[in-house]
Amino acid sequence: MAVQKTADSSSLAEVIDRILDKGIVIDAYARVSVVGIEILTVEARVVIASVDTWLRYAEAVGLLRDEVEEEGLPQQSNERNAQFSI
Amino acid sequence: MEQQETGIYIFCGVEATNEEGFGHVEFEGEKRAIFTIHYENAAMVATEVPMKIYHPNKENLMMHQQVISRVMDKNDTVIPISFGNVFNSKGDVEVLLQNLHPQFTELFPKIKGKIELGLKVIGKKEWLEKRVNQHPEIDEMTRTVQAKSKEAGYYDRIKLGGKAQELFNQLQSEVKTDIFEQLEEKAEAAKDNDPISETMLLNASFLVDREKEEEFDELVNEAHERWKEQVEFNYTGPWPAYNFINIRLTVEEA
Repeated sequence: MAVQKTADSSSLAEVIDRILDKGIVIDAYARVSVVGIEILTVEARVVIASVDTWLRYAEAVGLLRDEVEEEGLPQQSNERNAQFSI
Repeated sequence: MEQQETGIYIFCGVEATNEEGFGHVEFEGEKRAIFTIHYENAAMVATEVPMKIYHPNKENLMMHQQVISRVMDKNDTVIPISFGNVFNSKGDVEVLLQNLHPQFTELFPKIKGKIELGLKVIGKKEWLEKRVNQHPEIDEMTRTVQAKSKEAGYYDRIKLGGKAQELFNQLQSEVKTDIFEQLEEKAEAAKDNDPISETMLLNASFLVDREKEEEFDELVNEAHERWKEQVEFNYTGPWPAYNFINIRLTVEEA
């Protein structure tokens, strides 16, 4: 066949396009300081066939370096919150 | 040596009632065992790691995806979780899993045996130029812009940019009709994401039954045959259903 599929884990750009902001995404606060997860509220929306992309291309371009710089990603908790408050 | 606090890093959710082994993972230079944490018919695939923020560098991102790929080889109902989530204890992950159980129960039958396939279509430079050249008004605007200094031609540049965008929208809609809509018919679900570069004309994901994967590959190839002079295809997968699962969790301030 003329077009072959590339394996899912072989392209960094494709991986980035998915694993930072898709699937189950947890607020940055929860990442390290989960004290008593009972207070975790599940504001879950289960969507089949519709999802919004928050990661902008500019950010993705910055990510395409071997070692991602801290400022290149929305990992500051307040920045991420801003994106999640949709 | 100082005793380091550890946490539980989670990779994905799976439908599983019994413990499943997925081997080991090389996690920032240390070999760590992958295990599952269970609640009823659902489980989280996890590993124990030092408690800290993990940076999304190339190695870590690829590691996360590789573990999910390995899980997908053994389990046909995988719910992907985004990169970088560490919890204090297995107990916390259990509580999370309990909280998510209604969503998981709803999702499992929808994604069982399904895979995500990605298709990005990128316009070839020569073809894009050819299409631009079919519009004499764009050519004329370009000459106007070139005749002026950068400052004086500011508004002409904006107009030209707007015109170019119009043309790209037109190309995107052609690709959407002839490629996306045809493939969508054969998929369980399809998602048309925004292109992530100017020359990208389609950024789509399809949820496809694993048994129909080859059939879908053929359809993609047929579309490629029709379009290969004009565009490049970037076809990837199988992925877990990243583009078809959207669960956002937030922590409430106590």
